[in-house]
Amino acid sequence: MSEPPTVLLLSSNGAGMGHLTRLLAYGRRMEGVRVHVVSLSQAAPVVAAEGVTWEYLPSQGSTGLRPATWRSLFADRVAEVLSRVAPAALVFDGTHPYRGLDVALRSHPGTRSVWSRRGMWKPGRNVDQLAKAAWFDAVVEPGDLSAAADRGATAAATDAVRVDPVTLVDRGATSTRAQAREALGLPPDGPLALVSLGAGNINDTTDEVGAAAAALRRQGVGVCVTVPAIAERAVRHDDLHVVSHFPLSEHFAAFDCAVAAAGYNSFHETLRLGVPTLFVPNDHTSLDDQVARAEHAAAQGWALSTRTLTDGGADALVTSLLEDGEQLARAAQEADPGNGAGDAARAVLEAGGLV
Amino acid sequence: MTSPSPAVRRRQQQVARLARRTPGLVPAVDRALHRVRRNATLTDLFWRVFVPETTLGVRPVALHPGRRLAGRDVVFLPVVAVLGLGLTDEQAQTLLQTVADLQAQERSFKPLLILDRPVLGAARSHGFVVELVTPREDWAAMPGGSADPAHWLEHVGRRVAGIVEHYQVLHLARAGADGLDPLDLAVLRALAGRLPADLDVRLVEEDR
Repeated sequence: MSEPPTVLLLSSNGAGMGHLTRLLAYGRRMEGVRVHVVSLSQAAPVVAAEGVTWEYLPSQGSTGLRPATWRSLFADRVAEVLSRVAPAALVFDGTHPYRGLDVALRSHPGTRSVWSRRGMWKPGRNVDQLAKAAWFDAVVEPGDLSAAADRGATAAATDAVRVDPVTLVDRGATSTRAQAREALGLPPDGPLALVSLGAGNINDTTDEVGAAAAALRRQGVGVCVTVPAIAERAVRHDDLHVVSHFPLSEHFAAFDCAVAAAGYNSFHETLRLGVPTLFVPNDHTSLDDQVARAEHAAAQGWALSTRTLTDGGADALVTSLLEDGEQLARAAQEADPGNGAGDAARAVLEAGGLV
Repeated sequence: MTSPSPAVRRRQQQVARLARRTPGLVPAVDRALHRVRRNATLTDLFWRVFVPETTLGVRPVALHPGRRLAGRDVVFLPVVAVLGLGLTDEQAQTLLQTVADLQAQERSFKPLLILDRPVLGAARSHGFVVELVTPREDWAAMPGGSADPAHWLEHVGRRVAGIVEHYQVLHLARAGADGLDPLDLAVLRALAGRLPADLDVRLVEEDR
């Protein structure tokens, strides 16, 4: 029996696990193919839980190599993988396709390539990267619930197949509250909040975490913090619960509310899965316009948003979250057009001539 | 040697972009350099005039050195790859600690770990760079893999050769379940004596 064709999912490192999670959302919905992951994220080993094979390729930032030296390493490694795996299709998820990928793809014309390029870039940033769409056979843009507020370079681009917002987990595919709390090792009763601030280890958000935790505790709400595989340091405290599971969104029913950054994945996962959320957008990202995304959600009445919790306003915001959060979450779910991961997966398979 | 400031780095990137976009410039320079390198007369002249330094500790090699070393001249420390395959997670973590302790004692190298266990969190706690290769037992299940052990060996050989080249590895030390190979350990202990005595490389604690 012949082997099924392979689709290679290549994630940039970025900050956090967004690129990797989005690719897995596509991979889960591809039938009749074998999925293989090559990731620049140090969280790469988590994909083993998805039952897919994987390889790790250290990012330039994690090595400290000079950019030109790293690009040579990257191109060499990708070319080796393409030669060995001979994938029918390659999907690169990232906002900055690395030089060397074009050379590797050109030398493997049997592999069709797709750029998974999310929008919401900060205005005026990264514009020169759009020309790299020419490296790929197709561009897929996972949609954004806050697309109406997108002022970035991709907003006017006409080269992409746009799909609805993508999440790994669908509505209706999550555990019950009791199952979720048991799976995460959380107490079965009492209100709990998920505090997920900071995009991986991009900067230190200890102060925001502390302010959120203190405000929640004052309202009698237990606090759960995430320890992503990429986190530099676990945030630990005697009365904090540390939750670690991938994908955590499968067990979002464990939480009565969330205080979260507004990266693409956490934003869409919390809103789609109906978690009342207070967003604290991380404005230190180089490209992702989290502020525009979160403020649009707040303006639409889908969630609360604040630039900081450390200015004395945390208590009032948490009170609002507890009083109005469920109503906001319902409004967000009503506005959600549904998961675009299946359409994105289909676009990849079509580009690879696999359907 | 210090890293360029963001402003200097932006300027470097602008100049590099301009050079790349200038039609024909990069291929022309590549061709010229290739000819110069293969020209015995010019090469001989270059060595007579400039006498390039071939001793340790004079050529900068960029790589994160780990959390323990600091100082202006860390960039001049050579890169030593430590190859530990077939270890358990616990043995791999012990190896990381051994390398960290040795590095702190000797202050003479920047380690690059080549492992087949995904102990990335432990490596990150030391600030070490890690390259992962597929474990022998998982190779058959990998796309392009095989149940033939010789096939895995060929693959690992190619990977390690690439790593040695790209990271400008000075020495490849091997480690097993009992730790570093004794000879490799001896080589690493001998490096410090071959480095210039005036390198500014300190333990992080000394900076405080």
